[in-house]
Amino acid sequence: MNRPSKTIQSKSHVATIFGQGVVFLVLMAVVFIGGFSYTDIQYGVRHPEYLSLTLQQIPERLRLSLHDVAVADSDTQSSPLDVYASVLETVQSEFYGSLPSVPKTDSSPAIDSDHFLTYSAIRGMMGSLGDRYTRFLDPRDYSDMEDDEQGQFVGIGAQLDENKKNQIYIVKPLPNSPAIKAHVMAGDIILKVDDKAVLGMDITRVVSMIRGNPHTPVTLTVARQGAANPIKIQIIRDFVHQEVVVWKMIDTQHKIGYIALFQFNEESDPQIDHALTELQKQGMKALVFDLRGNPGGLLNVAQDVASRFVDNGPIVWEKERGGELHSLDVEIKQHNHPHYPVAVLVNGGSASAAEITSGAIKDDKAGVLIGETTFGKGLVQTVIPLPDHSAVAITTAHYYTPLKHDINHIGILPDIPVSLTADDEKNINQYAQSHPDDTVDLMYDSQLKKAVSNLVSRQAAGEHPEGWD
Amino acid sequence: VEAGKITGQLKVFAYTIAAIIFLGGSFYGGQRLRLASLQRPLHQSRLAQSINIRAGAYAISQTGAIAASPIFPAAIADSSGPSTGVAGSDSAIGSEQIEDFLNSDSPAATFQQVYMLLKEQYVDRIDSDVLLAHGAAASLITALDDPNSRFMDRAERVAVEAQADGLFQGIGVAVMVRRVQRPDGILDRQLTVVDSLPGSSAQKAGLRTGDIITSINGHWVLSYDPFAEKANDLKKLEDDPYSFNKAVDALEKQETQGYALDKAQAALDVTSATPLILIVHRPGTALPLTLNLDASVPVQVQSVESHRLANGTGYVGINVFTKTTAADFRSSLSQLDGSKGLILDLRDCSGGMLSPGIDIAKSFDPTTKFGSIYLRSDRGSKTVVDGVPTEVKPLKDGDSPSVAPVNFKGPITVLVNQGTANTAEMLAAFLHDRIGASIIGSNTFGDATAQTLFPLSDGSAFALTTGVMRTDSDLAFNTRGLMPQYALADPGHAADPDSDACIAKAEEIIAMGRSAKAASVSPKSSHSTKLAMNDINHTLSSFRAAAELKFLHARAAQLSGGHQ
Repeated sequence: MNRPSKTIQSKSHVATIFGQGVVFLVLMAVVFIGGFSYTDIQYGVRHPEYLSLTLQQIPERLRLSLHDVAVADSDTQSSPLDVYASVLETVQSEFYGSLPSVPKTDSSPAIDSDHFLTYSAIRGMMGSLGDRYTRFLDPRDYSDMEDDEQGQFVGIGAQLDENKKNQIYIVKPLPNSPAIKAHVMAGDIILKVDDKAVLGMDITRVVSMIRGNPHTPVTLTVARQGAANPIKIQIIRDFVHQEVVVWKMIDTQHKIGYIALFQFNEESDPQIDHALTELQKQGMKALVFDLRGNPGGLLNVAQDVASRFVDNGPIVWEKERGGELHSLDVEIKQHNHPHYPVAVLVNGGSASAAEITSGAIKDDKAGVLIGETTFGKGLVQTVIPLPDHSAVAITTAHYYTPLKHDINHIGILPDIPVSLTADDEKNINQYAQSHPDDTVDLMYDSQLKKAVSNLVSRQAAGEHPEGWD
Repeated sequence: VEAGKITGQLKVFAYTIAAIIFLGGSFYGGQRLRLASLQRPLHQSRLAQSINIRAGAYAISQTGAIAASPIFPAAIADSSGPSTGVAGSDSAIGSEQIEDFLNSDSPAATFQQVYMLLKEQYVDRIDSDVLLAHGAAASLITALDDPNSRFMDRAERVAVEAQADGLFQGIGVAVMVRRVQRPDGILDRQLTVVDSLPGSSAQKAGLRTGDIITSINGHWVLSYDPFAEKANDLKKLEDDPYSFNKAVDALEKQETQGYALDKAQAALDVTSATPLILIVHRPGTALPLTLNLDASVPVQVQSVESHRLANGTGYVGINVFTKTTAADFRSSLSQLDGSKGLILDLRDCSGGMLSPGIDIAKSFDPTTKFGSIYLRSDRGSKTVVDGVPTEVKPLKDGDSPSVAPVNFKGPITVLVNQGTANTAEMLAAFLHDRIGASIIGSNTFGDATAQTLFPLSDGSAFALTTGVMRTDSDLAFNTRGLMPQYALADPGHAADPDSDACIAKAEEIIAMGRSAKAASVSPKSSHSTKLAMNDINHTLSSFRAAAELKFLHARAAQLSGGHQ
């Protein structure tokens, strides 16, 4: 009798010990993780705003830490920082020759050799990834890019160019610009900027001399046709909005409007809004939206612009490394104009944000794409500023069109392919030169002509502007 | 009771273990976090998000300690790094120090910030830090714009190091980069052949000294900025966007598919199964030549070759300076003992290691120096040479055991040509200045640069120009070369020693009994240096007129451009 019971007892004892063992191990693991993250949690408690972030990071930190141990065991590599630091220090102490640096210019501060070499190393490190969009922006590149993205800069608001005699002249003062307020005129040849002669100077140098801080004066001395003596003009610098949109009613009979967008920056959507309002006043019934040669720009601006044409649903799907697809959807607030029949012009120069916009319009059948296959850049970059005023642009995500097509290296095929021949391009170019004030070329631009005829036939088939659902 | 006791002991044991594990975990986690504590908001919020705890974890895993160095105020440096040599891994790491470092705007911090952002945010997982590290190092070295400094991965380093043993991989050619200011103002960096090694496929294919390699397997050697070259053409096309874009596209294609100079050199230096197709420009030849070379078999070059010529003159040829050169040279001399005179053939000798040259010099005259090397230095005696603060270091081989002096009786002649470079130039100058050897041939190549190979802990390395040599009599010969006393129109090549004008001239001189004594030269004259530096033409004429005894340096006709 004893035996069985003892057996049972010992069995249960084994089970207990086993169970305790499991509990013990689990407890130990919990204790370890608790210990591991003790500092995190402590930190999180002291800084409640980081608590959730801190807690979320724990599994990842554990994984990485264990991974580090594994890597350290098979250690053959040294970190890029070690290699960079060794090379830089050796170069600084041993290299026979002068260390490269960039002297100060009118528009940018000097870059000393430490920074010059470091920036080169960073460019090399980023370049090794083989992705041309993942790149380093030194402080000057970055400030240029910021100007570009904001679509505004401080200056006088005049377009400059160099003529055949290497003189810098005003092509035209922009509307509402400080230049036009100070009565600068198209054709004025700039002789001096703030009493410094600029003849023979590089145009970028002259531009940087004219630019400066807002609300500060700059004096131009210009030669004007018909004026006996050079004219001195004082202009107060101010914020100037970049023109990224041109528009025109190109077919008054069929009320076909035309809007070309050159770039996706902070100015793009307000300027399109303005153009739509003006064209609406003129009774527009259909729209040609020209995205040819548009290299893209900001993702959120593409979302804003595409929302003007697409009814609802996703504009684009984004996917980060190891992440899920998530969509950027139509913003209904953008439906403040009627929904016009649209023909979108695209070509091989339409890239990035321009492809997101045209891809959304195509997939949603919100318009007809006419022209050539687009560039094929299905990657999203994030620009991250660094403490020393430089920045990095890093490809952080792939994107897909609303129907989840990957367009990277493929591009978007137009619904109606129309290619320009070399002759077409030459003719278009000649036309543009002889008609500098024309917004569009309805003579030789066969893509634009196709867009117009497409809209006319759709009009005949009963397609008209309508309100949004 | 027993069981209870055991259970009790177990419990105590378990609690102890738990406590230890907790502390261990806490310590481990704390260690990690200390380096990772980056949560303090930076002035850019996006950065704060990006360089977060996770990213910080990378910092500790690959970097040992914080080193306070004068260059990096608070750089993280590996204690095993070759030149940092600061703090060991057991030194205290203050989290605040790390935090300050990673939030700072110092160059090293900027580098690390970018690295962490790439690891964290780049769309594809970056598994290899080696790729990133090498990309950074290569680009940093390239930024020096010094054609003779370059980064090498492990394979290239192994190949270059094997050259010290006379084993040449790839096509067996010594090249260097010449900087030439073109008439249109563009700085051209020409990948120039110094020598093809005997027995190599380069020699078999007829690659010659002075040939400029412009393309390797269809990849243009990126020797200058094509956009700078075509700037004027492009400007003319500005009014014609169609043609302009086409021209720019073509140039971009040329550039993106091209080989940077370091990559081009690596392609020549490393053995590959596929043959190399080179396009070379040969000065004096109108059309470029296309050469097909086998790169699959390394060539073992015999450093020293010697024999007695028909009339009893001893002949020693040095192809390249390797580890065994000095010993081989001495044994050759002892075999040739009793010869009427000695012909030392340094034609087509591109140099190689420096120490064998010093060693050979020492066997002739152990008391003097081989020459000088001008180093960049912030300490010691400062002389300004070409704008660089320098320290002059006499080139003596202090470490090597004292060598038995050679007692070669009889006149010595040295043969040089356009392919005589670097260590070979130094040795020729030394033998002239100290031993009174007669120099016969043509202007030498003019490579006085000294490179040092700095190994990195992962097996890669970088070669850096660390100095410029001057001869024993303080002559600078970089890019200019040295001019022989007895200039011959066609000095011939080392490959064919029995029947050429140089040998004949040497035998003639030896026969004339111009002994070393008779030809002895007043060494080291600051006068000559000054002349040589300032007015080469004057130097040439005055020296020619005075006596054909001075070893001149002259501007080699085909070479121009700045120093080094």
